[in-house]
Amino acid sequence: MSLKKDKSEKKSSMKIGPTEPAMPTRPLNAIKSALQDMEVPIRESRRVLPTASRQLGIISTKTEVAANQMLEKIEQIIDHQDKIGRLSGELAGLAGKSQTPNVNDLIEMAERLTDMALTSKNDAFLIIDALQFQDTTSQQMEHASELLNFVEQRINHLQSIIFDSGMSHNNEPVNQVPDTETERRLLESNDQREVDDIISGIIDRQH
Amino acid sequence: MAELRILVIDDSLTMRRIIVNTLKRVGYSNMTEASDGRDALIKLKKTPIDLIITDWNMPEMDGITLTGILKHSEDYREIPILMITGRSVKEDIVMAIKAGVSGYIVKPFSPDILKEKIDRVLAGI
Repeated sequence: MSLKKDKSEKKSSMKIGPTEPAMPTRPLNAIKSALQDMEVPIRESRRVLPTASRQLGIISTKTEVAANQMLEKIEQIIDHQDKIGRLSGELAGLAGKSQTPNVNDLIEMAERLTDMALTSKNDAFLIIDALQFQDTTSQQMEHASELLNFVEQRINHLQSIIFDSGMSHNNEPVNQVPDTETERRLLESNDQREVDDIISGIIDRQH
Repeated sequence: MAELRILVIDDSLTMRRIIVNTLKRVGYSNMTEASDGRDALIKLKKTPIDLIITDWNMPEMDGITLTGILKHSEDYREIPILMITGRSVKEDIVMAIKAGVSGYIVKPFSPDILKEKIDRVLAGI
């Protein structure tokens, strides 16, 4: 009798029906959370990388343009120096050939020498003007570097999410998303006339 | 007429040299240089200055902060300030005008623009 009771007890304890697999809820929740966390740095990095690339492209272009401007002026200066040298030689020759060289010829040559010297000086100044590119491109390089540091921090954070066995979020990146205002300012070219118009508008409103 | 004494402030040595050379080109020859706002305040104590030409972005003390300090100073408030900067957005220009700059030039600039702005600033326009 006790055996029957035992059997029926066993039957009741072994329910037969649809079985539910045991769900490892805690690790799955952590994975889900980690994947959600990964979305933000990926999105931020995707936004920032093209900007860094654009900045570097602009720097390269500006550098090349400025270098060519300077080279053109340097070539012109060299050309003028050659001409100055030849004219000086002719002048010396004129003076040496005769006891009384033609004054008008001398004056004309002196004027040509002066003109060439002035032209060379102006060309040198234009080279100085072209060197202003160094200031704007250095700011752009700093900004591009800041953007790349930002991406590096995000990648480190992603790495910690993926490879950290505790799925912890301890390595939150500390640098903020670079502001779009700086990006806009560095990508736009500057026009003095537009600036003057803005200032005129401000002054008119004040009066 | 006394020669104009100009203080040129920029953290970039290259830019300072460019501005000084351009000033020479348009007829000025009495320039003092400073590397940022803090350095400018030190130079102002030692040298009488008639015109200040300053950059915006500088370490230690930027151009806007310097302008604010000078405009609140009895000794220096009357010195006109010309800002030469890469910033050209309206909000920046408004900020500079409110801080007290007398003229605003965007980089890259030409000698003609620099001369024109100096003339206007000195004429009080």
